[in-house]
Amino acid sequence: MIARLLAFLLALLPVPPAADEAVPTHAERVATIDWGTAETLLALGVTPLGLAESAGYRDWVGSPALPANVAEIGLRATPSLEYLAALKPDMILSTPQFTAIEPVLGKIAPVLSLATYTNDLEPYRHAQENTMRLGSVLGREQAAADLIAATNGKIATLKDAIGTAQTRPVLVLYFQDDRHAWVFCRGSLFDDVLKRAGITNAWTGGGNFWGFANAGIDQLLTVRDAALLVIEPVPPAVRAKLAARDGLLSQLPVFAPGNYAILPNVWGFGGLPSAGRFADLLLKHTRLFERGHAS
Amino acid sequence: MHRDRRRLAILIAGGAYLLLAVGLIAHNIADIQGSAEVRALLLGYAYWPRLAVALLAGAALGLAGVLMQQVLQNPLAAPETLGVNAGAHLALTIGLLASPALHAAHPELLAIAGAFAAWGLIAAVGWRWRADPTTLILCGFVVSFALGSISSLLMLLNQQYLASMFIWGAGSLVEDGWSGVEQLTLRVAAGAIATAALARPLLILGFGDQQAKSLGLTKLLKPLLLAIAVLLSASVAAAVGIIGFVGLAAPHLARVLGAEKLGERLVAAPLAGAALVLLVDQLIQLLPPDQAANLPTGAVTALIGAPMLIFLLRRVPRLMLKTDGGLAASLGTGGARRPALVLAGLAIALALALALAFLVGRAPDGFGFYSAAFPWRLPRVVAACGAGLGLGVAGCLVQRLFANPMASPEILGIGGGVAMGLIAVLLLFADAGAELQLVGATVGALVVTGAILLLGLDSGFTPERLLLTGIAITALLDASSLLFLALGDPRSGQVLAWLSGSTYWVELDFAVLVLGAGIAGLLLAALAGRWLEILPLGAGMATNLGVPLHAARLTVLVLAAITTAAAALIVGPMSFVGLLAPHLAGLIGLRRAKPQLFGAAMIGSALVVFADWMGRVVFAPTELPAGVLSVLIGSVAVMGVAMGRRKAS
Repeated sequence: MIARLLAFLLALLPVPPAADEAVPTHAERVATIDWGTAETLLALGVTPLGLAESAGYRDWVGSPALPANVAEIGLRATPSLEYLAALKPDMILSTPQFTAIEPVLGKIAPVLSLATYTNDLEPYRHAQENTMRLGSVLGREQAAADLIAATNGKIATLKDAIGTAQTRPVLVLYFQDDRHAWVFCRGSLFDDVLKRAGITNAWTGGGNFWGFANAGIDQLLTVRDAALLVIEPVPPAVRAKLAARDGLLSQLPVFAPGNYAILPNVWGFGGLPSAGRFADLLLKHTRLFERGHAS
Repeated sequence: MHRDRRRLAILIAGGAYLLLAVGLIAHNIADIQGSAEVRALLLGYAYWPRLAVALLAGAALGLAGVLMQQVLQNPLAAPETLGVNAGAHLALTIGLLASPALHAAHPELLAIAGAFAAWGLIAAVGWRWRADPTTLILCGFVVSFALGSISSLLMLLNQQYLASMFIWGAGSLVEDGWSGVEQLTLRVAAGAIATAALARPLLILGFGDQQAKSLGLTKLLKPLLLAIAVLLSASVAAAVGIIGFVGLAAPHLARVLGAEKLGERLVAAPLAGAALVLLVDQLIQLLPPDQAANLPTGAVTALIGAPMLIFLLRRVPRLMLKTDGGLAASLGTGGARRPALVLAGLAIALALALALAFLVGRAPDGFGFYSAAFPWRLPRVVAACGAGLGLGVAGCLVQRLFANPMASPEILGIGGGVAMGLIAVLLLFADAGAELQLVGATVGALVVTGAILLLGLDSGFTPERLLLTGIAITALLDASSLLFLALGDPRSGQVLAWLSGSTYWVELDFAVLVLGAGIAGLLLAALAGRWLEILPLGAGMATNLGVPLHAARLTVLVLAAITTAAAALIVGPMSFVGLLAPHLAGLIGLRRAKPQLFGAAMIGSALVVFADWMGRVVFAPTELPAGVLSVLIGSVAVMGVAMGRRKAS
């Protein structure tokens, strides 16, 4: 009976939409449920009609700034269909993380799913491809080429600024609480930027396909002779411990005064604009990881 | 002779444990990499504090467990079954959102306040039945889920801001210096001293209320002892998060190891708890640090502790788990004169709910029909209807099977199996689509149903065993989903959405299938109406009346499992619809098996359909999932029913 039910269930499973065939080659009115796609759209000069969790975009991504007229469409995993439909989009942008709801979104408008973070761990390359894809779909080929060039240019500027100076490895992380952090490693957008600028990532261990590793702060102790970049938001407990020079956190060599910097919000799971912004921020802190300057 | 042999066995086991623990510690210390300076820092600031906190947390939870079990004379009482964790979780979540500074400075105040609030609720709902162990535990279960559903909603709406709560929920023992150890030591020492001072009255409590009164013990003694237990466990929750199942398992472990007298258990249970947490934590540290960081100790302890508990409880005397009907007895009075009329009324209510959910939506310019949205709403309405119907039917079946109206299909753990299957698929396949997720969910449901059948066959399907198995499976689910969420995988949003029971992604063909399964379950159950009428009367009566006991119980169980699995795929693993619907049907007078079945089916449908609609429109465009709203509505209603009954009697 159970086997029959299973067979019955399998036979009735929804058939996934034939991905790209339904996607039009041209669109003007787009909505997106992914923050990384939203920042790319804005950088291409296209304002999305609607964005999911737009308050979160403002807090976590920040730049490019989200125009006030972008409609809120609900949670990323379950955007409101009525609100989406009211926007009359001719395309909805998604990522493979939301594959499960694409058949539903497809009832409103064709869905274009753009993958940046995949098992081949090359987000920067995928971000470039996605930018070109968005450019051609939105009729903004020139803007797309410009964005790619500008981002490459920002990384090149960073590389030039470092020049022939010797650099120390750099550790990049988000704090989760005062004892745990997500450390960006191979497969992250930040790692790709570091690599292209000729800087070594101090975190040699692997992570997940989003390019980060869960680390207890005790693991950070083994990272020697590296500069640390902490990305906002920093939990209050971490700030308190750093101010009081209390606990293991303050004993970490990477947390020696002058050895670390706290960077403003930059989205570790975004596209080219986040990559460019990260390169800009690195440029402001080159003294941290150029040898001879750091203490 | 027997005693001596037993003592020898315990000595050998204890010696083996010590050797193993010392070996693990020596190995883990030797394994610390780096220069002498780094090693010194790691040992002094991370390794030793972590070891100390593991021992303290385990001991505190073990002591809290013994206290609760002794005061309530209930072998299932523990911080995790009686709301401490759920209360602390909700309070810490609210604190983190409302005042991150307070949360950072005084998490223990939040955790303690939340734990006491949860205790207050449980006392208000279930104190009358404190003498009935199973019912009190079920009250704790309901209250925990009511609070948990609010935490889930907050997590869902603020996922990005609450990432640290996922780590907290999974119980990480990573330490940063000695400050956590110092605070915990103070609290545990205070708790231990207070317990030692009250050890004699505590012993007398075990002889019963009469004896205690005649010996002149104050009425305040029980609340005082319970408060010590709550303080101890809330302190652990604040310091390291949730360390699952230690409070429940440690006292039983102590008993199995021969600590039969209370005085012995008061010492042995904290020792057993400390030994348990230490062992798990040192085993985790055998892994390379980057892998160990992905396995928070609390969740792993729960993964190991839940099956261990099933094993340990086999040794608990049957008498201790006997239920005298408790809430059941107080609910089963009166009956409708005209069930047909009542059912007709319910049908109208269901039709109204269906029409509302299908016809009315909310867009930027307010409420309206938005007829263009009909094709999207239809699958959701059908699916919600089918899921509610299935849960109503399953609820009737389970309550009649267990002869306990506080039992529910959620408690069977089938929904938990569905969730674990889904999480397994997401872990194994990075880009799993809807169809693969469904396969995983279905396989999970079938595996758990099979396990319940096997365990049930073994113990002759006694309600207590099934209930315990279900609670253990639910804990396993909690642990594994917490592990997944603590990994910080950005897909956790999707898992959260599903665990919380969103009808969002449902396609029409699947919705029709679920509705079909529900209706088929209803009709089959109606065919077995005679069995359902007789089963609650007890095994003896049923056999006398010619009911094939094993076959009947097996049939009812399989039927309940399938209807629950289909429904859980829609509304998630936990909704209290299966618990609530049969109750409400009983309250409006549908007490005989068949009318109650049909009544509960319609009430369940209307409830889920309404919850789904509410979730869509209340905070539009932000959608609240039907499952979590059902839990909230359902658990609050069950608490209300229970409290109302309490006043009436």
